[in-house]
Amino acid sequence: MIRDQALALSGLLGESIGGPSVKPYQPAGLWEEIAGGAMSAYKGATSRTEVLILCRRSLYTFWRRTIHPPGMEVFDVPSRETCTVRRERTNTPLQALALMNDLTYVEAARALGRRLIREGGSTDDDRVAFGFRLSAFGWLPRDDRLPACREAEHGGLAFVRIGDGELRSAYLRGNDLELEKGRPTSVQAIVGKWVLADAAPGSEVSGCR
Amino acid sequence: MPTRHQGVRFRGVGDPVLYLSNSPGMSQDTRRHILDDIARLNELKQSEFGDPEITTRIAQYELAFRMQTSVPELTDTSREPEHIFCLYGEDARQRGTYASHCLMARKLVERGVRFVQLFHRGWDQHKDLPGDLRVQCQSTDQATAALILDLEQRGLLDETLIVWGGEFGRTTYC
Repeated sequence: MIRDQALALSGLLGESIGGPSVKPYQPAGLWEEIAGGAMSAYKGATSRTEVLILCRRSLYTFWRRTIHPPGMEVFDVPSRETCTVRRERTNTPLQALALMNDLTYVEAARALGRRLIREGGSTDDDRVAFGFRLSAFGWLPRDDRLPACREAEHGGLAFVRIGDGELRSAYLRGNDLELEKGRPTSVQAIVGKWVLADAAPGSEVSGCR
Repeated sequence: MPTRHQGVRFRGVGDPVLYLSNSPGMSQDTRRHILDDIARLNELKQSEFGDPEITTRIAQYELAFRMQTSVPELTDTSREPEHIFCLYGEDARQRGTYASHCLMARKLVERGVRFVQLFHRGWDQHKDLPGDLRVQCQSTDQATAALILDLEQRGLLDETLIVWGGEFGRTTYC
């Protein structure tokens, strides 16, 4: 649900129904660690259509009986070995880390940032209201929330516009070195290219694949 | 107990904790700012609803931030002196072994972690008990003793309660 929501808000969610399962991002080497591990790994996406396939609803995630999708596991996914009447609910730092650093969310954040810049209007308050309405089921932020939101948005934009050039483009472009070791870089690159082009006009984007 | 006391399970193979590293380009400074902003929003929410889970969430973001530096340091055994490996056994050099987990347990206790649980599996023998049990005992015996001795020599044992238990066992005649 959380992943689907992030994808939906950022505009990355692929809405096709049915068809074969897909293998979303997971940390490199995870399957190789277990006995009989290596399986045909992830296929990257090279076009907008393929992005939408990779970013289908979590329902379509490829499932291995002995090693569960890690992004679901930290959010207490049942093992599927027996029926589950009531799902466990934990509240751990592992979830915070997943939301901070799982590529799925990093990428969704980039894409959402792009939406805010492109569709959110021209002032900080407009963008905050737009972002809030997207993520909070259509509500507008109340006045007491506005200052905090505005500051957060401001900090984010400052990072995008005037932050250290190299760091900024590394982050926005999503040229993750780890990914290059056999992981798909292209979804990242596509999203990164959009964001760079919109957020920092004139930035170097030719390095994107 | 409030959920902020919930345990964190370390993985036995590969990275003990997933998603620990920031994406390239994300500095700890920027991360700090982002977490401060998130905390402010969460505090507003908390003041409105009074849900203890929100308080936990705020605390867990902070813990996650600290884990980003403390966990790599915790699992790095390269700075342990030679006599530590004599004590725990050579297995302790290798990630995922019971001996390495015992060493990690000592480091956790040393750093003030209040509850540490170690598991050792594979005691469901059906045949070849003399052989299998010897292997099982070999991989647990020395390291367990080492952990207790190590805690003692660091002055930690007097305030540590050790519970040793099993939920499986076989008699010598199967």
